[in-house]
Amino acid sequence: MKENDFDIQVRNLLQNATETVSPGVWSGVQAGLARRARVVTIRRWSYAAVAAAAVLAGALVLLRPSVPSANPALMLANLDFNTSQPCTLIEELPTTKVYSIPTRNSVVPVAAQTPVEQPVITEEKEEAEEVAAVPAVPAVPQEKGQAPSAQKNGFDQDSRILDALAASETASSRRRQNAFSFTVSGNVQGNQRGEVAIAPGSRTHGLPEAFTNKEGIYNESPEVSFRLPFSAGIGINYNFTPRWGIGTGVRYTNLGRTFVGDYVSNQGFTLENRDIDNQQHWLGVPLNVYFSIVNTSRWNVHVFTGGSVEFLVDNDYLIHNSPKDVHFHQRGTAAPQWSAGVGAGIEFKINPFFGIYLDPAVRYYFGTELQPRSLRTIQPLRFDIEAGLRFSVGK
Amino acid sequence: MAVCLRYMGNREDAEDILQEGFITLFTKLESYQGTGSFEGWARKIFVNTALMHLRRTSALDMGEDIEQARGLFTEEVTPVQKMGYRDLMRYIAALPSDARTVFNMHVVEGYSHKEIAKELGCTEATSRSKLQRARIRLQEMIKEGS
Repeated sequence: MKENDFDIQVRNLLQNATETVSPGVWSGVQAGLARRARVVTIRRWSYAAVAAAAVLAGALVLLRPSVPSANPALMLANLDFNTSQPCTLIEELPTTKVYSIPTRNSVVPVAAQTPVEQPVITEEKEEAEEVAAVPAVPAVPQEKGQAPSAQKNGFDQDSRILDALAASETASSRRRQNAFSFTVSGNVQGNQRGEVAIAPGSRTHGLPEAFTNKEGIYNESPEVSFRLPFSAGIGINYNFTPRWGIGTGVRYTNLGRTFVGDYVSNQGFTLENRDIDNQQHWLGVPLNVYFSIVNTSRWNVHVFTGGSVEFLVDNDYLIHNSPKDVHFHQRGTAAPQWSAGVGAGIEFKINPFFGIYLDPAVRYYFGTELQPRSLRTIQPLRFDIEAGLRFSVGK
Repeated sequence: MAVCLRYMGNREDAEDILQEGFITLFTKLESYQGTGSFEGWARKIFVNTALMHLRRTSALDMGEDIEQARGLFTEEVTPVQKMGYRDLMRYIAALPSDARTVFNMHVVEGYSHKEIAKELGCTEATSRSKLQRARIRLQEMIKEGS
């Protein structure tokens, strides 16, 4: 017998082989998967804890990486295999054999086949895995007179069950992770309850005290009531890797307050100790970088950081002299307002193209002494919650 | 399981490799790009897991004596097809770990000697020698068994 004949006969005898496994194997696989998920989760939660751990704790407790029904790997992992029974041959076709893998509730048919091409397995750099990269194995060259190799012979390529599930999962995950998305959102920030005591003589609208004889608002009372700041905006995000993304957009913010002060009109008359409403209208451009910690077909948990520049497009004062006598005063625009923030958020994906998200963050506003008085000027470090809708599209 | 048993030689180690392999497969499922068959991709994972275990336990001694393995293949061997699968698996399990690994990788999985050398950190000549040694030893065992 020549060497090649010996190899071919050995290969033919071994390639269709099946073996039974002891009962503990499958429970060991399930336990190992659960253990690995916990380790990864704990490590990544420690990164997110700096940003907004207290806010997200309740939301994260509710979050479990769900097992999407379309994920073949997790489907198999959650099957309760009946390991007391071996896999049995249930159908034998000319080039394919179908075996049953018994579970407690059903039998999972698996078509056994021999690969024609050996794919390359690449490692993810974020995980310290020991599995070495597998080089692509080219087809074994067929020498003259040699019987066809196992890679060229063998089973039918029609591995409908495993290949179709894996392909659909790969395509859908690729679609989720590498995509533009558009957002429509609203923000609220924390407010000060009741009236806030402001230091006497402090500037009302950012102008120096030397302008006291000019038209404007003066002698603002120490007690100020602020309205709840709110924002609304539209944005666009781009995921340039499965985990990293960048987002920007346009955001409108409304800041309001009520106080008692003096008003000097441009006609020269003065209204003292009147109720004054201030409405500030800001338009800003945020820029954030997102890192996805957990990304399943239903949930996305991410952390983000970034900054924003805002411009005061309108700063209006309503001076209430009497119920029927209200004066309007408008101040000029102030310097751009810069801010930076960090946060962590979650998104619930209703389907691969539409989701709702909640992004709480901590934000700091720089140079507020140059701005009209608002919650930002008395409290530059602020807590912010953004909620919105996300529409994802493919590349 | 059959793949793991061929590489490890005993059921206990094979089941350990099977468990590790499945955990790795499910964890890395997203890296499957759809090229080639899924079973082939999965088989690679189990083979890699077995090789990693063998390296970790220093079971692969790829130091070589090429001269002894050359030219000892005979033609007077009982044909393999007269044997059963269980007998063949028993003989393969009885091979030295290094020779068994090279035999499995080349004869069953279809690795070339160049790829085996790269994977196991040896030379192509060593790979060929190990394979030859495995064939010779298998034939001896088959002949004794028959």
